[in-house]
Amino acid sequence: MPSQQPVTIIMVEDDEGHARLIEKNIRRAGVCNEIRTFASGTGALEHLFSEDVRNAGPFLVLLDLNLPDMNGVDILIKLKADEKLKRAPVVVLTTTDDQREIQRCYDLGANVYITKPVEYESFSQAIRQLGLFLSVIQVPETL
Amino acid sequence: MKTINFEALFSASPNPYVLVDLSLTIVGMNEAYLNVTMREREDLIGRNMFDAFPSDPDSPSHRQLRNSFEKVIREKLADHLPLIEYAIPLPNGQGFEERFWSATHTPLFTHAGEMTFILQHTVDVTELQRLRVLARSSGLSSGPSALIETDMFRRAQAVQEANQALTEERQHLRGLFEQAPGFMAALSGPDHVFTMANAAYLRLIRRENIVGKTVREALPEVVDQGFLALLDRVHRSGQPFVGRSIRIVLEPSSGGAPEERFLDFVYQPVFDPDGKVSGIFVQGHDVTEQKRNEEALRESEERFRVIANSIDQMIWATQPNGSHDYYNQRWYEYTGVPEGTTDGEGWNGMFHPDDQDRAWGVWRQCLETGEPYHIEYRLRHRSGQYRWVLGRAQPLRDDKGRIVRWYGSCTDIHDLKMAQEETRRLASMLTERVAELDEANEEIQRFAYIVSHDLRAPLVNVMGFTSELEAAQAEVDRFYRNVLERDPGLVTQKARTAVEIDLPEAIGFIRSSTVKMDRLINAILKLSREGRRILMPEPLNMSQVLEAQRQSVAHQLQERGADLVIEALPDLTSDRFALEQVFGNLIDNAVKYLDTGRAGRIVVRGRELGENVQYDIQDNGRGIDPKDFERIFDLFRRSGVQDQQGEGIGLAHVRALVRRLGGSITVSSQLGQGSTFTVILPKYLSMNSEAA
Repeated sequence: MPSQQPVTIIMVEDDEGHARLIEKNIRRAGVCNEIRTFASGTGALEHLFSEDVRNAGPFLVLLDLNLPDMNGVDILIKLKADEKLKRAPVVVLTTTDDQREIQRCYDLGANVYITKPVEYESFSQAIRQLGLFLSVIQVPETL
Repeated sequence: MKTINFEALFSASPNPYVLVDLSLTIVGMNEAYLNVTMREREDLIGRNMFDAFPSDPDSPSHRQLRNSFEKVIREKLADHLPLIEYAIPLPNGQGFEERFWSATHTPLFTHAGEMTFILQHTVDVTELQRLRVLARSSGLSSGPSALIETDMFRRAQAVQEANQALTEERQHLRGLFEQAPGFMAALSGPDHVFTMANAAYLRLIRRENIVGKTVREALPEVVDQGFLALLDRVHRSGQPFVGRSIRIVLEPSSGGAPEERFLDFVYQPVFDPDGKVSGIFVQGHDVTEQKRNEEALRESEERFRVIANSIDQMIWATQPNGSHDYYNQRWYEYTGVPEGTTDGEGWNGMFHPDDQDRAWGVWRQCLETGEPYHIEYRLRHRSGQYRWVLGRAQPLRDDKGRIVRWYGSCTDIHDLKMAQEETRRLASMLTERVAELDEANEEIQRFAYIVSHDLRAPLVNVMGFTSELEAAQAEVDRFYRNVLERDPGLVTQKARTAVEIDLPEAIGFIRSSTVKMDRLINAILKLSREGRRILMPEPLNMSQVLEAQRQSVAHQLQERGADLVIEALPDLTSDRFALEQVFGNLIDNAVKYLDTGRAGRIVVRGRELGENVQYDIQDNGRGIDPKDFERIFDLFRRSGVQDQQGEGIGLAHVRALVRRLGGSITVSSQLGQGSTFTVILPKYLSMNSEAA
């Protein structure tokens, strides 16, 4: 019987600075999970949809909406349409606080929507909670 | 010479005579008359003939007798009644006896020629008539009774019949003469004595009783007008004179104003059997009315011509079949073609080749249906240029509804048409420009959105890594304090300045600048987002909207001891959120910039302005310098002492909103006195008033 797997954090973020800051703050908040960073939507999707990765969850996805090659919303749609990957909680990170966009992301299944510049304290809090949430829901899956 | 006693002769004559005056009153008779009528002298003298010998006035015999008397009176000539049946009363009231008479009526004149009496000579021919009837009824054509039909009797009867026929004929002719619509008169002799004049003639000359008078006597006023000379000439030459529309001025001596008439007439000489002119027959028509109508028509035509030629339009007319036969001068001036060359159907050639068929078709259609003609086409101007013309025509109909003529006009609408086209072109250009502007505006909105997004990405890094720097600096600072404590000699002046002053200062400026930049980007984002928000018009109770705003500033008002007065406000249909933003900002500003030196008072009032409503937000605050009236509505621009929080976004935001709602905002203010912001908005926000 598989025991509870640690959550892998998939970060889709083209801005290296942002990626670095997010990682630093996650670590600073005491989260030690593996973080895989992708600078493009294409790269992230390729990785997630490769057969062994797809089945290897659980994942937590940190998704920037402004990507050079595609809109983060499209990635969100693809993830939520997938039988396996749709269980992965998604944290949308973006520079806009446009209510319509936020609503759209929640409608598509995003779990948390965080506006940059980030209040890192609350950001880390959210990550931790999501991790916890993820562990809880993972339990019946792995029974 | 022995004189004859006429009276005795009269009395003794075996022939019956009776004398009546012109009123037919019996004035005398002889014995023979008394015998034959079986009456006494006293019964008859002084009585009217028809009283003395009554008869049914409608009976032929009564009429025959009366006509004869009247004829004598009228014509002053003797008249014969060869056979007249006239019953006379028997003496002693024993009824009437049928009698047949043969009578002659002879007029009697005084020496002056005046007719005074009529002498009736009457013979009782009853026996003769009875015998004749008897003879006829017995079927005998010969024998003793046939003898009774004497030659004398037959002759008498024949004469009477002829006479009667003639009388009838004459009556008929006289009737025609009298009643003829034209005037007629007969003149006799070289002095032109009137022998006849019909009613029309008498009406024309407005006098009576001219028979027997000369023209000079009857119509003295025409002598000098040349008519007498004319008559003399006809009389002398025997050549008739025919006059057309001859003017005559008639002035009856009986009074009445001189009257001008126009006559068509003929002076026709009448010849006697010797071929000499015995008189002149005058006949003609009064053509005064016709003449006046003609003149009126000529005048009216002249007037029409003058008008038609003085107006700026081209006027034309056609026959019912559409053939042009009239153009005013303006047509010829405009087209420059010789007069008459466009008559008939020549006009069509004056049109632009591309318009000829169309115009021809429309015109034919109108001619067939009688519908008014209305068309625009290009007409060749004398300059050779084809100019746009508006052609119109209406048929004129007679009282039976048949088209008599067509009257048309051409109006040069070239400049108007060009102006219209220019206007259309400008309008489409404007529409295009508006579309371009809308697109540009949209582009700016998108641009602002994208820029603010993309500006934020590096800012996030600056802010994030500043935090990292702060954390690092805290570590460095701890290390520095350690070193300083343990070995102060290691700390150089430069290191001290760097750690203690430069680092915290630099980080502090970076932090405050990024915070400010973040606010500015947020402001731009907010404006651009507001421009993209979809407006939702709804009926708004403005008092409620403003009361809600009062709640949100209640705290500040209380803090400053200020009053917010909301007067009665007109309502409108608009976007609630936008209006809340507008009035929220304006009231916020009013509260924010109150003068601390006096009790604050803010008044909101409004009024209807036709299709719009106006709201004023008036304060007694510190006021705005007139040079800043425009500036305060610009983004990031503020006015006066910068002693209040703010980025200079509020009014820019308000103006953007008001404009989007189809309204306008202005300010009037006096420094140190207060400001009034005036917002004018459409009463009904229509969705298509919004360009985007």
